[in-house]
Amino acid sequence: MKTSRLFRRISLGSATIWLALFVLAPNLLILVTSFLTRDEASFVAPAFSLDGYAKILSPVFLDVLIKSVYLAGTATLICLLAAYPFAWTLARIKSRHKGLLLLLVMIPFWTNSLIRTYAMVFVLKGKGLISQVLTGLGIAEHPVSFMYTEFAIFAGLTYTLLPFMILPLYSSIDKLDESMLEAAGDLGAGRFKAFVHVILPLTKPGIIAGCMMVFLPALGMFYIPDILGGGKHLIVGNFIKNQFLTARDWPGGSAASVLLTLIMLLLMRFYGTSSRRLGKQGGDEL
Amino acid sequence: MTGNNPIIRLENLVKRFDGATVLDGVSLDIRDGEFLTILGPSGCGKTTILRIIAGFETPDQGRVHLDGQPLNDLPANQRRVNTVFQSYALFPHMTVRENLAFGLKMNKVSRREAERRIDDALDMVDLSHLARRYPDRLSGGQQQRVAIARAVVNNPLALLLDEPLSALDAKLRKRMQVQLKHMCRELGMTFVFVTHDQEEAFAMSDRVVVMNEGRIEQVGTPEEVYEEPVNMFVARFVGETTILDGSVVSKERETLHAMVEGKACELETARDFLPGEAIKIVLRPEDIIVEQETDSEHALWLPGTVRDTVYKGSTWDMVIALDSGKDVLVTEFFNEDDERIWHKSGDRVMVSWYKGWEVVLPDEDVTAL
Repeated sequence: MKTSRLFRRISLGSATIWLALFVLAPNLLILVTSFLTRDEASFVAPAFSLDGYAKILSPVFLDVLIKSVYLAGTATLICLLAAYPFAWTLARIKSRHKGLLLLLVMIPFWTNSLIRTYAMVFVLKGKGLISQVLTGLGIAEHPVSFMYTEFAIFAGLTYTLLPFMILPLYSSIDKLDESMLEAAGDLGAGRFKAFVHVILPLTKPGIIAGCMMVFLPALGMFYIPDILGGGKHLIVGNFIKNQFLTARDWPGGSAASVLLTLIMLLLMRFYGTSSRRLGKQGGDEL
Repeated sequence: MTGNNPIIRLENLVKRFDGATVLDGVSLDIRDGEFLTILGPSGCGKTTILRIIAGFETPDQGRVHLDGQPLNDLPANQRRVNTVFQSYALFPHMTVRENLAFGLKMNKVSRREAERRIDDALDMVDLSHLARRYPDRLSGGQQQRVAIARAVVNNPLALLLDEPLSALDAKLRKRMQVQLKHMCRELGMTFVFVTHDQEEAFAMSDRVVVMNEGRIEQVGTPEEVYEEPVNMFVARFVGETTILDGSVVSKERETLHAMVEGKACELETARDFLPGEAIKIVLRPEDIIVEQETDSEHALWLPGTVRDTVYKGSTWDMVIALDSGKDVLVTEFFNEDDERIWHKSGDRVMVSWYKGWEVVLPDEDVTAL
């Protein structure tokens, strides 16, 4: 009894200290910094100012924000469309290799994503893999480079974040009772209607979780647009990085970070309520 | 409503899973409007038959006809049969009413017609007051009724029920059995019910199909199956039995002269037996007569000792250990005017049976050798 309480205190306490030191404190520092004044010599001067927030209300930042939402949103959609059939097959397959297939989804995680992004360069560049295959097959006459295009960014984001979409989808499809599909068929629903009316609503928690786990990191993955997009396509992550490292405007960068955090919190809040409501909402339509 | 033309016809169905034969040549005519129960131990293939009719499984061989039309190439969603699943399979993201409306919506039934049919179906299963609830807020019995209503509301040619009562407690089960039987009559709908529970099968069915290891052993009314089992499997699987060993001496017409448990006696049977053939005599607990002493020389009286007695309210059950080593189960019905003696444990008794009530079957264990 006593040891279990002690164990609980130690484990909970160390986790709390860890979170306070490395999550809460830095975020508080950023929050404080966002309300301070810019200073050339020591980055920030301890005087209250709303300059940082003025900066993120400027058209420049709004452009970046819209562009970010577009890039991250499109990448999320591509991930969803690519991952759903894959996760479906993986969950429904009656094979001993199921575990192995899941492992293959995770293996790329073992390599740093920055390194994998550089590896993408060798696939996409003019003398790269895709180009060589296309010229080799005679489809393209001259070497084609996909570097520094939106396509390259989507490819990079999708490649990096696809597992985050597959895993939540897999777990919600795996939980789907086979008899639900049979019941839908039994009651006259063809494949498409069964998908729309039964499968989609029942796997909604996985879809939402997957989209959040792709969309939110995609907003901040500055190195992918940097490396594959050649810096032509800025996302919020790039903007923040530039404020800190190039423009040396710490309050501005902090204000943008605060905004990004707020967006994430709002989306998570939305996810929380929507997943809790699933299956228990009061409705009176036919 | 009950006609003799088959609404469903199964022709020589064969189904294998991973090399194991689940159905081994099943042919069956299911009559329009009847309550048919497929009865058998688990793994006998009874659920597979239902799934083939519903369209969830494709037979490796054989044909299925529904209302005269071949069904084999028709997907499940185009077959005019509906299933009540063992797990109910209610859609958790829809209310009771939405669950009922689903099939009607898929089959493009007009909204007004749909509303009327849903109201009727809810009324029939007594769930109108819970129409707006979600399935997870209903009890097991209520979910079960929703599952039935959701299938019935589509007005199928046949309703397929896959052990739908197995998750309910005994009391609720009894009530649902009566309700289902009523529903079958009132709707004039064909019910195909799968169960491993013999009592359940007898309580509801017009006809019972007894299955074992992918084959149909016997088809008949509950009375036929109980009183005239065609083989040892059916005799043992359906109801309590006492089985005596014997061998044929000779046969004239319907009378069989035989040795039973070492004693000569006469048996009645329509079956043909050869002299010397090993036979089994199947007796039900209510076929058996127990007396303290006997005067008759003609009937076969076997001596034994009463081992256990069980008072069951309307009946008095006994287990009698015969001197020949077999146990005999006896059920005696109370008759208040009767002044008979009720035997007690340890009493010496003589055992026989009402002449002509016995079932004589060939000894399969011997013929199989």
